[in-house]
Amino acid sequence: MTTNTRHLSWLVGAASLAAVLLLSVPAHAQLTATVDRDVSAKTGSDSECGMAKNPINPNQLFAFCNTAGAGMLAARSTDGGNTWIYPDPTDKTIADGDPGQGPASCCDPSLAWDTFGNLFITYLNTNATTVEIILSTDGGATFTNLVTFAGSVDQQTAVVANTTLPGAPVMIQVVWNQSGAMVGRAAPVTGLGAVGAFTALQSTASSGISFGDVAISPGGVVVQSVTPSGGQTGGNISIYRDLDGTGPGGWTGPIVAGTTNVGGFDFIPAQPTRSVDPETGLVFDANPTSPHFGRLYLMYTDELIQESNNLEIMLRFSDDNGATWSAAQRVNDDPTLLSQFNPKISIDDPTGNFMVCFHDCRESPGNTAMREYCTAAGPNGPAPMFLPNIPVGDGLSTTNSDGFDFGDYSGLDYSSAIGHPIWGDRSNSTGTNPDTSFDAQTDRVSGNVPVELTNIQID
Amino acid sequence: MRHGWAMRGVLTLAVLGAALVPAQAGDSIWGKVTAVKEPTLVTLDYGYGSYEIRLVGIDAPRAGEAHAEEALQFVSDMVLNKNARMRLHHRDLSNNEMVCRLITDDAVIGMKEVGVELLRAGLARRQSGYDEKYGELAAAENEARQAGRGLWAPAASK
Repeated sequence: MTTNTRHLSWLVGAASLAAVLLLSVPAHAQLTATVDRDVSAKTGSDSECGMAKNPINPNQLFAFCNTAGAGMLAARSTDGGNTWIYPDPTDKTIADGDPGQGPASCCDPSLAWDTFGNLFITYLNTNATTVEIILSTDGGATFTNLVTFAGSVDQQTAVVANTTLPGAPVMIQVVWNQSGAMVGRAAPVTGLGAVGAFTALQSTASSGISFGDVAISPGGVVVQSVTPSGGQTGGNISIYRDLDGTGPGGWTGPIVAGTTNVGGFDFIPAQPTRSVDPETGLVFDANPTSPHFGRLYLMYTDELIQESNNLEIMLRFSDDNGATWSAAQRVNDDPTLLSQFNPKISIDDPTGNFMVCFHDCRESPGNTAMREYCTAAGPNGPAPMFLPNIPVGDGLSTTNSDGFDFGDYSGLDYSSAIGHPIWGDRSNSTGTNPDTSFDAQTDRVSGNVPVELTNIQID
Repeated sequence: MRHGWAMRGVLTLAVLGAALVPAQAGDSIWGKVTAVKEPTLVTLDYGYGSYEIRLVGIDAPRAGEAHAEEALQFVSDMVLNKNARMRLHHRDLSNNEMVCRLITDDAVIGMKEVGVELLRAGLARRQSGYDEKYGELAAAENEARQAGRGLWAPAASK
């Protein structure tokens, strides 16, 4: 076979494979977004939002964000995220010192909504010396103080999951960074408003690390991911595991899941004063009928060439609760050398389909203006195959140089087949932003997931 | 009537102030303070590296000015060779300094924000636009002013 013949044969083969792949992706395999909604629509910056949907009433959503001034932005929806109202319409905030709205807050929201209807809301107190957890059992209309954990604390996150653990049909796990080490407490949940005692403090004995994310397996194994704190060059993505959930056993690890070149304070053109970090995210496939029931997905930001500012969103998965990991695959599909950052992953528990949304500078030659993009994948196939990335935000946003840029993270809930990303936005695409600060903006993202790949023939 | 105008003015300033203040500083790094170079400039060693940290929102007397040595000693007593954490507020693009809140993490001292304590001792003045969410800097400075401490001592404030 001559060289030319071999090239021709390869080209024909590649073209055939491409055609088969294209034909095998249904024409409807495409996410779509609607028009953006401005959740905050007020003066001052709102960013670093959490978003949660009630698993037993998908019309109910709750958004919770850092905000300028006292308290934190709190908004809820009763129509699936089409319109937003406020528990306290006078100032659109809670945890601001007003009675019945939780202890006064500094920042750093995290939300978790369980299948009993309990909405757990966590944040740091005014001077970041306590982790506060408040509870709403009426869709985010009213709140009661649940528990306070004191210490030199930061980066707290709460997650919930249905488990098979004895006495814990639902489990809440809270983790946070305390004096440089990741620690956690867990509690069983047995009904609406019925939260059991939290375990004693369990420490990873880690140091010099920054929290990424935490997830609970269907069997009650808790997995958290951490990355190096500080610096611009990154390092290992480490996994710690609590194998007995609400039991007395502590954290084991670390297990190295991979590496990233994104440091704990990595400055990029779009975030020149605040910086970004790897923003690892973890979700478990909790659908018993999924071909990958129990699979754990790890999403993170990497910079394949150190200090190139070409940040990519990457994904790995594990089929043994984080003990071993797949090779990395890229989530964003742009051909540019521009930044994708502040990603968030969320999984639709009944299906195992999952969505990833992120800030994307692919339309900004200067690498400074971002638009929110999303993609999704399902549990079919040996490895996830993502739908084409779609632009979700209706406008491009740049930092306003107030020091905080877009914040450290964005929010996303993907359940009942609809994704609800939320991010800090200055585009004023809605015409409702009263100033040049960031407003909390959201959208509804849906489409047919998973991608149905059939009739693949590779010769 | 005058009180009404004054109140409206205060509220207007508060709203404008809130509009200028970022959502909030975040993400702590814990380490040990290995040097106090100025009352508002310290070195934090976090194990894998170190940062030069400028305390956010305050101005302290410079070397040679009144109370400069006292301010330097005050900060040294609070943090030098002790555990502390920085919460990044922003990077100063003019000089790449990490502008942070610095909070002690010490069994004896407890958890105190160094900048606030410096203001409370009357050894610094607050800058505008950095008063966080609940007016902590203003409250500490007002306390020092009313008590006549340091920079606000009757003789010094003339």
